[in-house]
Amino acid sequence: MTRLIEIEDLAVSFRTDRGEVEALSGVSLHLDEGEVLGVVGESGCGKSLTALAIMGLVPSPPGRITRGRIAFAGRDLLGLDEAAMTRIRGEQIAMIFQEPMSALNPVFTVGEQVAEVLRVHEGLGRTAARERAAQLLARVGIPDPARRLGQYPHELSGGLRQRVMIAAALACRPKLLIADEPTTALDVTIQAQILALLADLQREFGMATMLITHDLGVVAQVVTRVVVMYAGKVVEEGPVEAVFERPSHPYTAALMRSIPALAEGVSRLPAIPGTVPAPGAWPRGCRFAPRCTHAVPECGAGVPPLYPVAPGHHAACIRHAA
Amino acid sequence: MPPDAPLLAAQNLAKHYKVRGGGVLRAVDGVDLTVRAGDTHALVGESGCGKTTLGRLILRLVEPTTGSIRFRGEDLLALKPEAMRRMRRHLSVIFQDPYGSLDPRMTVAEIVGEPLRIFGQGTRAERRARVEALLAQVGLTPAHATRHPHEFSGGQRQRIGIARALALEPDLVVCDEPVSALDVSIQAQIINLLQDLQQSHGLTYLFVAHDLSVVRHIADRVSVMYLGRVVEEAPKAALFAAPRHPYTRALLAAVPQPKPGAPPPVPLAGEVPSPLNPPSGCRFRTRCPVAVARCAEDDPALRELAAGHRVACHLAEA
Amino acid sequence: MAVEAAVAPLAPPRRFPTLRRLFRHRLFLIGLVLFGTMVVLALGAELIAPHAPARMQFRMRFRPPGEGFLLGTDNFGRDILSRLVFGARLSLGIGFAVVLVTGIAGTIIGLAAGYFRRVDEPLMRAMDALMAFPAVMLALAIAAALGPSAVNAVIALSVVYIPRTARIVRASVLVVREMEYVQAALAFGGRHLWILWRHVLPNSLAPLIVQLTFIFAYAVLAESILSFLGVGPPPPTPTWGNMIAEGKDYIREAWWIAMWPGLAICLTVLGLNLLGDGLRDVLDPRLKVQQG
Repeated sequence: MTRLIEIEDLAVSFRTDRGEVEALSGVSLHLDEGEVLGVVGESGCGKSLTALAIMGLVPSPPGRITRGRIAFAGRDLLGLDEAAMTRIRGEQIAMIFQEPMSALNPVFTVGEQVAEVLRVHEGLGRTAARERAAQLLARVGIPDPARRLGQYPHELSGGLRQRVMIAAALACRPKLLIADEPTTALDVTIQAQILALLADLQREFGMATMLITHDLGVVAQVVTRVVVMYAGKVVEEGPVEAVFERPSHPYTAALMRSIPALAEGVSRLPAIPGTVPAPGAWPRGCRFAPRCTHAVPECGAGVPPLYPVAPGHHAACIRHAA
Repeated sequence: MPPDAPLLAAQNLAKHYKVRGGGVLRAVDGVDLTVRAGDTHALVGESGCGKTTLGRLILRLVEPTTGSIRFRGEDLLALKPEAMRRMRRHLSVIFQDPYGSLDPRMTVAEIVGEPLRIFGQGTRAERRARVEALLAQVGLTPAHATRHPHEFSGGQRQRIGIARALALEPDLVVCDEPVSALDVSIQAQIINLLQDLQQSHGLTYLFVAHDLSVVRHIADRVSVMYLGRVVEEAPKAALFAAPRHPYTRALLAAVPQPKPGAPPPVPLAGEVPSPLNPPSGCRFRTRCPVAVARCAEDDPALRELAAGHRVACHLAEA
Repeated sequence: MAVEAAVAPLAPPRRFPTLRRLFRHRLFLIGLVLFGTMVVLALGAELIAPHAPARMQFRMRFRPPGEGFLLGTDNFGRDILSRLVFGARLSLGIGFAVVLVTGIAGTIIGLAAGYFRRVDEPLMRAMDALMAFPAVMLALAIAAALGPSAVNAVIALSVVYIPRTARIVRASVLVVREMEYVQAALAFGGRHLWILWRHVLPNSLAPLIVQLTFIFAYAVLAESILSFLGVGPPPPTPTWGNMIAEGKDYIREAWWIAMWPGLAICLTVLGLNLLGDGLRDVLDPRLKVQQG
């Protein structure tokens, strides 16, 4: 398979009241063409920021990419000017968000917004764009698309809005779709609809997908490979079966033990003690060490790199140092 | 109050809102709810099913349109404002949002001690000691008492909210999605804490939630709601092992299992109809995979199909 | 019972974070210096004024700024610096009184209207009626009806500005009353007055404080207009408005008579506006969220 995107040692900082705070510190990950990658982590771990960095949308100021490289289909994204990046965003990489309401413009109809993407990036005329928009809405499972085209975002339910976002994202058949918690705001029956739709479209269009979520159930059901992030670092990556069967970083393992869905029959959940550290308050050395039951003094010595556990499966824990 | 009487019994409870431009929104539309002392009774359902409104009705933060609520043997809705206010010391609440539910201008000691001050309990020093004891019970230290909410993480704030909820030694605590705003690794801490406190304080929980795996872990009994109605009510084990209402089945099947290779989630077709204009007959029939003609005509009542297992479906059999 | 010690040590407390941010706000500091200077002049008028403000020295009429009279003298030979600092006392005093009255009355009306829905309609329609008149015209009419005096100027200006403060307080009360901590206080048995006093009021004040600095500025300006038009405190009382009114006839020959009080008004209003902008930047909750 060919590499579609390769991120190396990406670091992002934010200027705050308390000085420069690093929010992402040396993240490396990759995604092959047609692959479905899950990025898992809790709030503040940097998973959404990684996506924004790929999109060239890190808010700046106060944000700043301090080092690293993002190569997309062989091109260095961080070196591109705004015009080139805008073209990439529309045509090659598309993104959908947790709350489609904030990504859709409330004063334009759904049809106008989907058609605009087509007119700008595909150069379609007014009528052609409208027809194609209707087709897209039908394709993402919106009933009665001709009528929906004339409606405003607030007239649609959360599930339908997310379908509209997906239609707009797919309008130009991107090579990469970044989905940032696309189902978190939805009810579970609607979530299942959207996940099925995404899987369906992924098969049909063959695009690579980067699915960002905190929901281990969604990850297990949808992705082929998973990256686990904690406190601005990747702590584990590997094929989804391997990571779920043999979680090799203590954080991944503890996270899986602590969710009620996997703790069937126990009266007390094996919780992870402590709190998720905020950017700027990260401990020295391994950032999970203060909450880790396996921690030893050496954990504080330095940030552990990703050690191989099995082919394609890595974990950033010194217990795996050869 | 007879010894085996339920702590809380609501009957035919409804809340209808008049909507601008005519029409009535039936947020809760005729619900019976019986909660036994010491139980964790979960209310589950998707957004708009009325579970949060039902919780607020029980707390009398929202006045019901019809129905009755008996709590500790008293008719809650018949209480005059001052008597209701005094009753509130037995009736407590933990909110979903650990940010919005704590006054940002108050210190932790003021927040946790507020119910004590409202009910004029103890001297200043006694209240202070009580607040420190409460903080210890939820895993915080006296040093936290002088801090403001914004200095804490979501999980810590939820602990503050829990300490406040326990200040007056209530009987019933309405937990309104208490862990759904928290990080995954923090949820387990708060669930464990709630369970520990239930045991040590003899609490009864009315646990409003949408996360079925959390409910499966913590609940004793479960009421499943859809469009303002309870469609199934059962002991937890029975509900998860043998759900009888087609909606409960669909809800359980839609949850993605965190096990690669497990059967994929099964989507339920369609969307929840508007509570302004609910379907005739059974409210679930428009999405129900097994609906028959009768479902459009008769509104199914809850029927007891097994001990303590009640289902509102014409087709469900014992 | 075993409770997992769940709490990482907190960062050491930062005392007065709001004040810290204010004092890092450059325009706020400039405003503070400008307005503070005026306040110091007003408070220390007896110490600063080289002459009695009403003392006329006819041989010293129309002295330009310079030796003996730092800012010159007016058409009656009165020392302008002395009149200016005593005028500051009156002008700022009236402004402060207006802020106090509008602040208190506007808060009470706004709290009642925002929290108790039943009184909302009548109160706000009454406020709308007052706001329908142009501010200065209304103040002029009231002051003219009551007769020229400092107290009447305060009454007139307060009537004009109370609707504005009431509206602002009501708007934030409408937001705060829906917050979950208000629901929580109700659920824990809090009475309405308790909730108003402990939760709603403290959380609704920020926009009011900002607005009051602007009202202070308007009041100083409006007071000088009233005085200029002869419905403020009557001459020979030194107010900035009176001084400009008296100086306007001699603007060609003795420009300084009208210029110094004009400059004082200008700097006071500028200072207050800068203060208000700074407060808004720091107290505005939306900005607070962004700064984490």
